[in-house]
Amino acid sequence: MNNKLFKPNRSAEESLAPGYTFSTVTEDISRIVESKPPQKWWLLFGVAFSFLLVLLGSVGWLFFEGTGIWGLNNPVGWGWAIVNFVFWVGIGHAGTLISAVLFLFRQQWRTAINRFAEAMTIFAVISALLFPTIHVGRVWLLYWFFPVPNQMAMWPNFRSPLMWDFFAVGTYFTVSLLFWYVGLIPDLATIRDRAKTSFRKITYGILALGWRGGNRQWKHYEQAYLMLAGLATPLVLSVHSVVATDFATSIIPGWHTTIFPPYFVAGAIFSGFGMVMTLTLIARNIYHLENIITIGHLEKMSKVILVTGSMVGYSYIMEFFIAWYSGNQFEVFAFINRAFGPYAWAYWIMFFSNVITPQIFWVKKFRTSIPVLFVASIFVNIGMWFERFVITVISLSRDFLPSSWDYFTPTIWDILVFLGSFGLFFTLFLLFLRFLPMVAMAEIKGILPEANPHHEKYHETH
Amino acid sequence: MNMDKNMSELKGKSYWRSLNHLENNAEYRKFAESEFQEGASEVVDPVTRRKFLSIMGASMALAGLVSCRRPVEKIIPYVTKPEEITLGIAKHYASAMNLGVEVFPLLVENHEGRPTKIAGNKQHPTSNESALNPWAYASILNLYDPDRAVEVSYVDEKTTVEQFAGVWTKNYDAYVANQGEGLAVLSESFASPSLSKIKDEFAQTFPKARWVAYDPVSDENIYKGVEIAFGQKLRPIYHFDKANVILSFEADFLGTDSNMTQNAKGFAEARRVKTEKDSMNRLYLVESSLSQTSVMADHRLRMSSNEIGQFVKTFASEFGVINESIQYDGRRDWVKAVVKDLKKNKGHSLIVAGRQQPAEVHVLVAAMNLVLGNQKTVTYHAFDKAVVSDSDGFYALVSDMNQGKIETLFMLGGNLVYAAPTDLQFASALNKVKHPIYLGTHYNETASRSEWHVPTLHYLEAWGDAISHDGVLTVTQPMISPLFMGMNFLEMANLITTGEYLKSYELVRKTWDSILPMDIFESAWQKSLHNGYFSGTNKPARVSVKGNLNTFAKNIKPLKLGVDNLELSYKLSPQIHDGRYANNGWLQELPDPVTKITWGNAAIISSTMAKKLDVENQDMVKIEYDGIYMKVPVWIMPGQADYTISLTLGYGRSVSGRIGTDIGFNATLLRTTKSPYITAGGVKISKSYGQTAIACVQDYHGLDTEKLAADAIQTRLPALVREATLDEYRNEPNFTRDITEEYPEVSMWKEFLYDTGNQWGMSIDLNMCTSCNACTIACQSENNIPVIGKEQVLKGRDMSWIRIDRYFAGDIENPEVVMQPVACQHCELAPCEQVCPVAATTHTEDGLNTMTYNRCIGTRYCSNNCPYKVRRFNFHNYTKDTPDIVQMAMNPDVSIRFRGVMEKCTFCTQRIAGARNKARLEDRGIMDGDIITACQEACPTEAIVFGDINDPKSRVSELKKQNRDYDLLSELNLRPRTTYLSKLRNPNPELEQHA
Repeated sequence: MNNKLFKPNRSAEESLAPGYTFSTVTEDISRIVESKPPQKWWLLFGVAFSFLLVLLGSVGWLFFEGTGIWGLNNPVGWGWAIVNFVFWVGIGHAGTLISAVLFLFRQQWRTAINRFAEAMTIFAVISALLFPTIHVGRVWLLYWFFPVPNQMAMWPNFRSPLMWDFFAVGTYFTVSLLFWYVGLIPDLATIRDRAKTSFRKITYGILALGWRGGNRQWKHYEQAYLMLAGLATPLVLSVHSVVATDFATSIIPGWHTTIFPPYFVAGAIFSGFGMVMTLTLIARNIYHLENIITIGHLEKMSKVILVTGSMVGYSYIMEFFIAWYSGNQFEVFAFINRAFGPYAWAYWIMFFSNVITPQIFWVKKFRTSIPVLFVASIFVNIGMWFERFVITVISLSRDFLPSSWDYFTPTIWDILVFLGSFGLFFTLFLLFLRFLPMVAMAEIKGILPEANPHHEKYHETH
Repeated sequence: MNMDKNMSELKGKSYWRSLNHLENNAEYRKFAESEFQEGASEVVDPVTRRKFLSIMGASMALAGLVSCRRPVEKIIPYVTKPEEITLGIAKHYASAMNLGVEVFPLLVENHEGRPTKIAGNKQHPTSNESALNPWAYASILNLYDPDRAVEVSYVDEKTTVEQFAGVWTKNYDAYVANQGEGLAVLSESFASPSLSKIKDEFAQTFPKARWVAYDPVSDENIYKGVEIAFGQKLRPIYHFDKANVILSFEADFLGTDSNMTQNAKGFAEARRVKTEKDSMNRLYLVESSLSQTSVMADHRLRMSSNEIGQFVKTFASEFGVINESIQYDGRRDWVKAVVKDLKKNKGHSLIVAGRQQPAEVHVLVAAMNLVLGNQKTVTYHAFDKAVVSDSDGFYALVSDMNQGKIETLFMLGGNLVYAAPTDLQFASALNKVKHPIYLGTHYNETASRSEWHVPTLHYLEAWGDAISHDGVLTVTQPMISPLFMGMNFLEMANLITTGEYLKSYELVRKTWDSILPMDIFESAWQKSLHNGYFSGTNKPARVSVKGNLNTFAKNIKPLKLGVDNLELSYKLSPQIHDGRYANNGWLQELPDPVTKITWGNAAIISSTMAKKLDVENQDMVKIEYDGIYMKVPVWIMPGQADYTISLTLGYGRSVSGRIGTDIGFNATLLRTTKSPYITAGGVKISKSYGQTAIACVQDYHGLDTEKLAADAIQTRLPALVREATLDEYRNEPNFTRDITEEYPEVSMWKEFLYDTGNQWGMSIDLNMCTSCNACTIACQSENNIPVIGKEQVLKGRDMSWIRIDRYFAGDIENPEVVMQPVACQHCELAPCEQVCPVAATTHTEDGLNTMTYNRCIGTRYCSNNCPYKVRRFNFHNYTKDTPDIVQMAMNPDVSIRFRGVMEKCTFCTQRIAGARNKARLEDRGIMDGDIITACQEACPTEAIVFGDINDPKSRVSELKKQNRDYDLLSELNLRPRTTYLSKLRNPNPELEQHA
């Protein structure tokens, strides 16, 4: 029988090395959570935690002394903090995309990487939220952002894109967290069931919310998961579109452009996949998961990077075209200044990393070469950080009145806070690797041949 | 004289100590080598930044002293309110400030016995305006300078005024007996009836003693020239309002020259244009270094300073003042056209020359003005009760000091150890004086080398008087009892002369006793105190040329300059004067009007020179003259004559307070008695090592180095600063609005109409702005704007609410300069308001874009979205360590902003509120002119006008109706409430645009 219905199961071969059974999947993945972490983990955790301490120190000094410790100046009111914010929010995109959108499209190859893409999303959004919080001048009054009734009878200004941001990123974080957690429940139950100490039993037991794996539970679970996927999908588009409005609704040349929302979304997916690629390659190496996260996965991801990278490249070029086509001298200057002004170095780093680098993925050899993938993913990360730098800083540094133009130079505190945010991100991520199943076991099992109700027939045809 | 034995022992100790000091003259060298030394390194060291941040911060010890000095009974709060004082309502009193022979009549705002703000006295017949120059505005801060000397010091001992007076009284009789042999007084120039009277008494009491007045920078050359030409000691006063054509030989009459405010006012009157039918004056300017006056020039000729003398001779020959063959040097057309223009406007023209030009030039200028019949545009007044600077007298005194002929030297003000020309070696001469006694505000270079240092009282702490050139008597009333121990000039001069320590009040009363009419003395005195002046006259002198001018003209010989034979000129700092205001944070942070440099100075050179030297901005160079050298950073300026270097004086003070010490480089090091203003030839320059950061508030954007930026500026400029010639304006009266396309406005929502009640707006006439900076300083004083220091300015965080944008247009070698004051434009569709997430910046119904500091959380989004970039952010807690005494200078009507808060121009909302309250109490509407913003009040040319745009008859409405009115960045449709009137120039059609 050559029924197309059975086709999905072929993906199991691409998504997983052959020879896995339910029990080996459980064993391989749960073992990581249950045994002592490898030395490499400790090493990485030590580094990450040190950077987290750097972050805490820098933010402490920042709160004590004020935003003046950064390199901000009069035309450039937003510097690295906002660059980092957009950078991290962007990275947070791939998780939801992989889990929700690919789930809806029944792309089963996602199962090997979705858990950790989702975790990455959560931690990236946490890192992102750090920045708008600390970048304000009077951080202790940040709650004025919240639309809560107060004795001043003051509402926040709903016309401000920063307000929209607050809602968009907040919603995204909440939904992503729920989605991630719901997905974790069956696996948490597995860990609970395998637990040997009562402490583990109770902890994972509470976290598993009483999962028994019954038919009704599975039925409800899958409905809930599907609905959350449906809810999360528009958020993939909305959150970065709203972040884009921070820039697009202002009047600064280089910011005030309608292409921003789709362009930001494409860029976010691009950067998100870049980061997922980097993390996957690291985790795969530490925990020897080559059989679960296969070359097939990596190749697919590199294809996404190629597509979104090309979209980003298109946007860069289209921006120039529109600037020229608008006939607006400020707009024209803003873009020429990006490419040939004092920050040209940043622009060309961005352009090379984001537009040129992904083009190598037209070649299959590069798509399947681990070192090439790793280096390229790092380039994508760097390039996307520079994209936000180019947009935020260069546009501000030279706006309408030449008398106010000024050059932005970061200080040591800009750099330390940025590096520190990686500390926060990786600390959380490494803790996740240590304590939670990094691959969705239940889902992997779903694509194993055994899970197919037509299992026997399937074998007969062969 | 034999002073107290005990004291002379002490003195001996001090002597050697001083000599050590002196031998360590290398300290000057050290200066030249690095900008930042011990104290100043704090300025750049981020660790002690907070100390620096509180640049006006006082030590606790000092704060303690303040309270010690303030007698307790005087700070009792008003439990029982004095009848004439309402708490919270400021009182205004007339007073006056003297600066050399200049008089600034003042109206001082006084809050509960604490002067906080000064402005010009509009009622005073000489000045007739509320405007002042930045020095006068900022002088209020000098009163509250925490680094003022607080005690009398004898060598290293702290003592009191009474003790000092006692010591002098003991020696007084001996000096009287020997007729003042070995006694000398060295003062600054002054125009004060009381001080003049005392000086006369001094001469009678001590016939053999000497009283010399000397200012490091003065109008002496002008006076000398006039004296040679007319045979009388006279002071020329220019009446620019009556001049249609002005030819200036390097006179910076709108800038640092004497009577700047009056000059600007008159000049503006003759230049103001309301419709295309009006006419305006024309200014020809010849100068070596781009000056503030060049902003107004219709034709500017770039020429080295020493060459200008020869050029003046060319004109003098043309006018027949001298008979020398005319040398045009390729400028024949220029000369012919200008001469023709001047002759056409006989009686309504004016030729002026800068104070740095030699006396010979001024001889010719005076004679030419006479030939042109310019009796109305320049008047000459005899010096009445004024004593002017006398360099020769000073040099002679120093030579006597060196010969040990001077035993006791009183130095009343000045700071000559720092400011005297280098070849005088004043410090070493001072060491040969047995008893140097210094009366000065600060412990400075001179105080540190004096036996006695008596602090001077601020002019608002003691009585004084002044007389202006036209004979009007002005009284200086104290506004506060002395904060610290000290004497004022009158008290000290009187003590020297009579051996009696009398208070300044008695001294001034005594003088005025003889001036005011006897019968009504008391009422006339009261009236003078109320108005601030007592009328008097000093009629212009009749003048005619005496003697043969050809002989003087022969002394003018220009030099051929070259790479190894440069010209070096010294200019008064537009910020800190000759260094006397070095410790004033407002002035240090004020940008130079043309270079836009703050916190320091630099050697200004042309771009051609820079290429030859292979230097860029901020590169250190070594300037050498006569075996002395100094190292200083360069700053390339368009419009600078080749082979010339300009340096501003007043910087590089080695002993000043926490603000002024070691800021910039001391140009006095190269200044000699032979050439105090222009060292023509013999100066060498070479590239040195390293760079020094220069805090310039407006990036240079290397007009020639970064083509992209330069091109963008040139593309934008025509729309930003709209400009035309008078002829173009006449042909196209609507040129201003035609520069940008008008788009039909379709609104997507129902807009707030802003059509009821008062609607505030402002008009700024770019044709009037001379970029004098008075508005910036007045605003700083009115609105408690913090001083943030060089490090912060370098980071691009300057706080001025009203800044003056400067742009160059045209030829880099001889550009046109345009200036544009920019403050918050109060847009009706303000982009800042829309983006604030917490609604901290909102609009009022009367059209103000307001900032609610308390609500601001500091996202800085508003600033990003402001196309005018007028918002200012408190990146640090800039006022954290502001000492008590500086807090006294703050305006209680304006709140101090905390860190993390955005601030900006409020249209002086406190003044609007004040006027509204007053009008309400009087049961009337607010009238036009009830509200004068601080910047408007300060503007000598009335370029800034504020008022109700909903009242069609208000001044601001009338201005906005003019066809030159435009919105800055009109294409953004923000409907700014501040609009500009375009700039006009009036070039001579016979001359091509610039030679």
